Amino acid sequence: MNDKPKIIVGLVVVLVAATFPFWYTLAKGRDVLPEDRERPSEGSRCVMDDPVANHMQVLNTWRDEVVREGDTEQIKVDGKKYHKSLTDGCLQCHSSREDHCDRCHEYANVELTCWECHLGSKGD
Amino acid sequence: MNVLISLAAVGGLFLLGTLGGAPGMGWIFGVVLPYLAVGIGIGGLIWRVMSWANVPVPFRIPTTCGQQKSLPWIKSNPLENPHNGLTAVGRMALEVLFFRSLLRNTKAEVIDQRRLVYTSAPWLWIGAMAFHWSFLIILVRHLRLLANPVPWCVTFLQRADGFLEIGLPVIYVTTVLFLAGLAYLLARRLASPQLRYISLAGDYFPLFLFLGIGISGFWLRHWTKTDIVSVKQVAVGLSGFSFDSDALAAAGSLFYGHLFLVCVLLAYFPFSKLSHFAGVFLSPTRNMANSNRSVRHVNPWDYPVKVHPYDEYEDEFREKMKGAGVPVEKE
Ligand code: HEM
Repeated sequence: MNDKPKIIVGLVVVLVAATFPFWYTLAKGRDVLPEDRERPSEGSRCVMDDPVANHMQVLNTWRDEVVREGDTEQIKVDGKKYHKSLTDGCLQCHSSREDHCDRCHEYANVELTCWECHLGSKGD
Repeated sequence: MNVLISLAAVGGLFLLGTLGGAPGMGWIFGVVLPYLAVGIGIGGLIWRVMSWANVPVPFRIPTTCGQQKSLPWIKSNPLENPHNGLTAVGRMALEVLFFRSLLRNTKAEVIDQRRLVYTSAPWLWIGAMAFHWSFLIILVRHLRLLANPVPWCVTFLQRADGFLEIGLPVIYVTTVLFLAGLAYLLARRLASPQLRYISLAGDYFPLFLFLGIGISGFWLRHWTKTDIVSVKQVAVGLSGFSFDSDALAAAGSLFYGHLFLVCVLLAYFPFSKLSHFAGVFLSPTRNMANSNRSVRHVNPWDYPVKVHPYDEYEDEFREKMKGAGVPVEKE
């Protein structure tokens, strides 16, 4: 006598749970890619070298400098001056919150607090 | 020695994994090895559990530490001494979810140089709970990378876990508890001479492996950041069997170090002490109900034994018994 039937039931339950990502993705269709990211236009560049991974830190540093320390001096990149600001800086080149911010954040399920104060784009 | 070998092994494996960031290597470290590891992990788990499932369990050997159910006016303790399937499931659930037996850990101390005192030693339980529960929550939170669109419960966990809103990206409570729990479990083995004596490489290696995964994960989120969109393309590509060379190339060495350690963990799981995850459910001293006396348990392998009952015996020897003056039942 052994407990084989019960054990097999338990094993199947665990295996179904463990393979959740596979059948979930297959069930949702293979729509696994984000909408294409907004690419820089010809001849333009970002104030950061690696904005995709590190933009949140720069924004945080700017927030601290401008809001908390009152240091509003503009930064200079390649001879061009920029405001240390989300609305007056980043969003001057990247026109819309929906295209520039939300696509990736929604895809990666990153929830932000920026928009609790800042306005994204017109009509927001 | 066991400690150093395990530490060096995990360090070496991490470095090996970071090779995934080299041009073209993403296909090996980001596609081939993860599938291989999942295959070994699942196949190994099935093999391991089926090898246990074939073992017979003929005896009722539950361990009990409370009053068993008997007469109606004697108060019984169904969780310490389960008398039917339901209460046995209750006891198992408390064991599996809350490690109740670890709470019985005690420490013997001699005080005043003459009195032996036992005190409760809950730290093992605290460390184990912190580690295991954080691990589970971290795994569920990682579904934000492996599933698209992200299920609501993952988002809910993510919000609750980040409620302290410290740092940017916010640090999760479970990341800290996971690392702190592991650090304690490791320190505990290293600090006590008795524990060090009985600890094998098979005890240290998993600890270092989890620490390696946890530290590299922490590093990925809070230190050297990654391109999380490419990472998600790789991860969700694994779930959906569609791959993208650009994303594989953009994911970064550190991510591959983290992922490779996870692959090692998956492949190592069924062949190590980590399979206690499955084994805990099969502990015969815990998962049986104590119905030893209230129910008649018949040995399932009983076969008809040739017997010689007394009346037949007397029939056979009646004359001789009478002759010897032995009393008989039938004249
Ligand atoms: C045993 C499995 C795993 C464990 C224990 C683990 C652990 C961790 C930990 C503790 C963190 C720190 C942040 C957090 O708590 O979320 C982290 C971050 C991360 N992990 Fe894992 N991980 C595992 C599997 C994976 C897998 C399979 C992937 C990729 C498909 C992955 C990719 C990442 C990435 C990209 C980050 C950074 C997340 C961010 O920046 O928000 N991990 N991991």
